[in-house]
Amino acid sequence: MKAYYACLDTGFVKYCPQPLQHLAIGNKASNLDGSVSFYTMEDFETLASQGTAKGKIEEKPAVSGIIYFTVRQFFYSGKFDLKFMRYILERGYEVHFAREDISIPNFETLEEVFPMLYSAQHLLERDEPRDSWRPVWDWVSNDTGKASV
Amino acid sequence: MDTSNFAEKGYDIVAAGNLDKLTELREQIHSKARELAGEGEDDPETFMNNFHRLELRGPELNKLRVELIKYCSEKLDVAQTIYDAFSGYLTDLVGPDIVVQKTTNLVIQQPGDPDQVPTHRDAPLNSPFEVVVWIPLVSVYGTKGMYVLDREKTDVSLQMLKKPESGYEDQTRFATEQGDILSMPFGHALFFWPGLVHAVGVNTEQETRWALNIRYKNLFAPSGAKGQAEFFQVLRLSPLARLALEYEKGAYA
Repeated sequence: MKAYYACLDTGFVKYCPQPLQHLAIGNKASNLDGSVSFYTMEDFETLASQGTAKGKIEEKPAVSGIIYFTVRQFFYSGKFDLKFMRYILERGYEVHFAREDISIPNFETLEEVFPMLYSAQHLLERDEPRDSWRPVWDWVSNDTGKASV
Repeated sequence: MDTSNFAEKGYDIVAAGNLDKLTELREQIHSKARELAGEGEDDPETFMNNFHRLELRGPELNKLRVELIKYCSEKLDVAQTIYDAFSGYLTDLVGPDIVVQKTTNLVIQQPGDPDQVPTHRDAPLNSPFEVVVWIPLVSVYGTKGMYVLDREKTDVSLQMLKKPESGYEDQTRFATEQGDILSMPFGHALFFWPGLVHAVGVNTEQETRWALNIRYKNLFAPSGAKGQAEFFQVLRLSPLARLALEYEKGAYA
């Protein structure tokens, strides 16, 4: 059975708590005929650089790859961090995402998936402001039924 | 392609430009369904129309449906096939850079089945920049089909929801009475804007309805609450987008 390193999304814990992220990542590992052998999370200070994940990879763990909760963990620097994804693949580790059910086992697949990752980051940046949940609450509390801008 | 009906009403029924693709897809689904059911007619349309005679109900029916959806997602390239069958119309609506819903939905509505999709609209939960493609695998008519409110009637029905006590019941009644009942033979598809209110009632005809539904949008159009990478996958890219993405890959490295 394959072993995977789980990397939870610190930035999203408020909306999707750790136990749910563990469930999603565990399910993804199971679908890959594997299981999670250990997990980590970034500090808020290292969200953009993925310093903790990088440190773990440099330890050369005996795993097949890393399962992230979401691709958004590669967007915290303000653009899609293709460089770090290449860094992981170059060291022989697969990259997987539980929330989006996306698997990138090698560079060939990265080429195929790149347009989706690129567009997802751009849409997130363009269409989801930091307080993007607020319009939902404005909508339900506004008797016109229209979302406030 | 003439998209004026779609622009005016928010929906249109379109004949497949490539019927062979759709016929082959239906044959593949029929073949798998017959294998799973262990019996049934040779002819796809007869098998599907008479499916209720196999008397699969509850968990047994759901198991077959889940297995079929899995088969469609993993073994058949349904999104590409539907695109190939309606490529002209789809490209006119969403442009040349297209993403498509990852999973194709398959609905089997047997006569008298009370489990039906309630009156609803897909957007704003889904992106208003998507188009929903609803493809019956059998001829549909009367209550075997679905009904949809055009843009004008959708606006009227949404006003009804402002009454918290009775709004939803009023809207459902309005949709049932005022909705356009859609009839079409196999080989056609309903294209509709996700902001339209639509529903199906209890199928009181003597035949089972089989239908697929799937959503397409432009690569860079807003993705709605369901999320770009969560809900969609890339179907095709224009030569220009390919060049630009190659450039961006270099810029990002």
